[in-house]
Amino acid sequence: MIAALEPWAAAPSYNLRVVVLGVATLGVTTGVLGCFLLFRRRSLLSDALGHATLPGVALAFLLAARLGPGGKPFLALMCGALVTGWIALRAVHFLGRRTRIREDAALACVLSASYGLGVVWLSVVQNLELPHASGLESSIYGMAASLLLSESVALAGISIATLVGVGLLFKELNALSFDEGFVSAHGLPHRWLDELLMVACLLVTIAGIQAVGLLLVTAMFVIPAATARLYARSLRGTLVIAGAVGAAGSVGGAIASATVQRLPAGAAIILALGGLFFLSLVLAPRRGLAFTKASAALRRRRTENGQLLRALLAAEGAQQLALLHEHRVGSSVDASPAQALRDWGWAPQRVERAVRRLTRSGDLLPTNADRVQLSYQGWQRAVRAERTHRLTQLLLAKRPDVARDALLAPVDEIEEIAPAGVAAELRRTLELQLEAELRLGRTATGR
Amino acid sequence: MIVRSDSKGGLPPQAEPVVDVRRLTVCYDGKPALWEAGLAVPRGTLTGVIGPNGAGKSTLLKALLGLVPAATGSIELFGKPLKEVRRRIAYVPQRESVDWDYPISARDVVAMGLYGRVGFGRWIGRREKREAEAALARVGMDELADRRIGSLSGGQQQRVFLARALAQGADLYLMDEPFAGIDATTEAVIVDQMRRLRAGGATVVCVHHDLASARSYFDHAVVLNLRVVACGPASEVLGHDVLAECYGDAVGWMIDPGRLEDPHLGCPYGGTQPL
Amino acid sequence: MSWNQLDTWIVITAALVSMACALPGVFLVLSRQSMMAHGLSHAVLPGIVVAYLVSGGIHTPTLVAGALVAGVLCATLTRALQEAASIDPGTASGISFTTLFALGLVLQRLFADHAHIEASHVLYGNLELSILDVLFQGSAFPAAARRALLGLALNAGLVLFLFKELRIATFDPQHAAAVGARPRLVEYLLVSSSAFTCVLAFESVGSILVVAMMIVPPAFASLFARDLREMIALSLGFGVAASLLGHVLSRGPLGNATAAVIGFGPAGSTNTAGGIAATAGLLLLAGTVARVLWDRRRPGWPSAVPGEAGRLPSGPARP
Repeated sequence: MIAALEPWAAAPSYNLRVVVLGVATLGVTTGVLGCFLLFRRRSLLSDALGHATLPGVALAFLLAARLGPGGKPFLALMCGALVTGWIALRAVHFLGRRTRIREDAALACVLSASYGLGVVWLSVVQNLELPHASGLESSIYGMAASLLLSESVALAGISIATLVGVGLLFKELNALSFDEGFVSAHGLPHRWLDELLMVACLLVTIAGIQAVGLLLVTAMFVIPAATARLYARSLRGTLVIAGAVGAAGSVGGAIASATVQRLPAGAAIILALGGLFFLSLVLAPRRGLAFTKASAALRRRRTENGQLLRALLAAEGAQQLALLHEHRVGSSVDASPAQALRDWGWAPQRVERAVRRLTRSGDLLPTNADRVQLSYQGWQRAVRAERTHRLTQLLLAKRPDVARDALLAPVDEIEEIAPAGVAAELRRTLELQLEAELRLGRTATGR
Repeated sequence: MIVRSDSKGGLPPQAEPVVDVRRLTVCYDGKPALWEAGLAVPRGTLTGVIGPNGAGKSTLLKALLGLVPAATGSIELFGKPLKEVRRRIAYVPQRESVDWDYPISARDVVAMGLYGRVGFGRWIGRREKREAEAALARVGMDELADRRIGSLSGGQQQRVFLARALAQGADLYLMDEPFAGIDATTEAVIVDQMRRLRAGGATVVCVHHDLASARSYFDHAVVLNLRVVACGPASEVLGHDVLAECYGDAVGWMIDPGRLEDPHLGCPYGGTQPL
Repeated sequence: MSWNQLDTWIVITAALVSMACALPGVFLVLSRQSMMAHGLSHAVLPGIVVAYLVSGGIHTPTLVAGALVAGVLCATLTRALQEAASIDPGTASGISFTTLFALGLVLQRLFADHAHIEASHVLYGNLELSILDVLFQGSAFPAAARRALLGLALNAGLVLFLFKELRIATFDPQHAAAVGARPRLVEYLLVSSSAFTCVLAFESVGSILVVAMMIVPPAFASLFARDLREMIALSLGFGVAASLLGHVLSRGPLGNATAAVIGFGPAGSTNTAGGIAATAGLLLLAGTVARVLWDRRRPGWPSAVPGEAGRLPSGPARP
């Protein structure tokens, strides 16, 4: 990291600073707006709108050549892009909402048809042999490495305006992205809000295309939002993380491209963003693949251990005494694990694995052939597992409201899932229940 | 007698259960949706799976079909693992699970029930189409066979789903909330067809949310709330105490109109009440 | 400008390409993966660069092979990401194609900067030029058309062989899994064959035409079809009609009209692939308006507005 920062610290070239300012602010804004697009499964909207600017640019060039001074008047071209972009936005809305066509197909149709039209109009420009026509496309579709100061400042301005808008309307946007029906039912102007959001996306897209190119803008809209979703629990969190990821990826990519020779800045930024996404996909807490796989394996082992211990405890008999008074009656009972687990649906390999594991940890003492005994430590663990199991069952029975939200597959102590007061009551209930069972002389089997 | 979660539910010992589930735990993201559930469904019964929202009713059906993996526990259908008996099981999923804008006619949806039999890469022939139409006729939909499914009413869509399962000619029918949001005609058709299936020796397991009608529809019931609260003949299982255990205290006004005057109703889970 | 043999070949090639694309396109639209074709047009770059680096020369068939590999890789990566990150197909495609393209760009700049290999070797085939071998090499049937025919045959085979599996996997994957119809296998087959078709066609006629012809015809057909077979037939017909009309329009009318409205003289013929894509879009718009007006005139008739299931705010699982 330090090494990567060195050229930045030692020779903070003016150009690099301008690029970093521009792409970082763009990254924050696209990250935030991208979240709203992601919620509506419209992540690639900016891609479609970006392609739809081509006919606008060509048309604006033709009009300028006919009516105005000719050449490539920047403002006119941008206006053309804005107009066709907005028409494309309307078309996506119309196709996606008023017809049977789905949003994704609407996006693809608008993208390809408008780009086709753009190509047609570009060949009109070529055929008419107007002056200054060459390089029309590239004059509007920029590159990250060649950001000018004015462009960076413009980007920063648009970004700040958008972010302030999102901040002011946060409550409404939150409602909008979670429940469209709710918003319209409460008389909030959800159509206008949605419209505003989409127009903001359009503006940022066009500004971004001009500054850093369409592909980078697309990536900036899609990837930070998808990354943030792997971490966040709330909308606010998602927005903040997406903004941060967008900025971090952009700055990292820009610095990398300044450090490594011939590394194009736009591609470096996309790769940095993509790297962050794939890294998060594997490592993110709670939702990352490594985490889910590892925790599932851990959970499985804990569950298996508990179940085997409980099954062996049941085979010893006299569970009530064990649970009530920590009194062990069947200390010398040999049991076959496979026999004890008959009802639990375990594959033979699974039984073997669990027995090996528990033998290693000293909870089981292998006696002869494939029979085992619970060691004293194993017996204590088994009693605790059985007690927790029964308490959990009681909790589920008496307070399904609490238990449903709190329940985790393997639990060591009931306090992990029940509030302290409730847990104490559950313990009392269990004691009463066990004493009653003892009095009735009932044997609890198979529990 | 109510037999609790871990032993075979209320069966005469000689009857081999069609569905035999032991200590089944299913987790989504580390949270159990089913917790050491054990139940048995005897052959030739209409079994209702009853429980509050999020109790794991649909999860149970999906686990039976192998659509969600089981964390622990065993499932046996007809005394065998699922793979060997897939053909003998028909599934009626929740209506929301598919895209009703799909361009497909009612007849073709029903013919999908026969895919398992026709085999990979083969076409649906005229015979299968006729069977599909016969299945549609059984639910009173034969005149709408050519209609695009999106243009059917909710109840009619549900009947198409039922017909798809009927066409399969299975021995075990798993139905996920077939009575949700449908009209009276459809309700009558479904109940009638379930009874006919039972008369023909098939077994029906049906997720159901309405306690009021459960006792009249089903002869066997599984009361579920993450774990199996009770499992056995409907008349015994669907009593007040079991349901109270399942739903917490909120069940009072759901099954007993007299309790509507109960002053405690303001807080259905009554935090101050003794456990 | 009179109609000659070349015009006929252009229309035939375009029609074959659009039919080859429409077949998998129908199922892509139905399983909400419409943006895949567009993503592929970017994602092939790393394949091309790696193929160049391995073979050490600009040898088009090798580059196309590399592109094919990258295309299939992108399609399967997209499909896998949907499950791994629980995101919608569009987002998954956006992640994989931008990242792959950037990877290709970086590889090219770092290791093959001097060679000036361009994605255009594979991506921007030109419809007008693709059929010139008829003129110059005296072939009876242009290579581009032959390749499109091959794609069409492959896809037709896939759809004929797996019609009912494709239908059940795109309509009700859960039920498909429950009856043992292997929906995931079918889906991977579908995206791979789509990727294959796309890349083959990119090379001969360019990505604009391919992307348009994969999605616009099925979208149009979905407005009117009551049945999957009707949808396929309508898509094929739409592709042929758009190819013919598009080429006729781009031989003059489209460019001239634009120029005339602005006040220039005749602009002559314009890019055919772009013209066909734009024409397809216009036809789609006309179809949509017709459908909406029709529904308005016939209240109670099955509406074009999707049912409740389609209308629900359709976000993925929120954090």
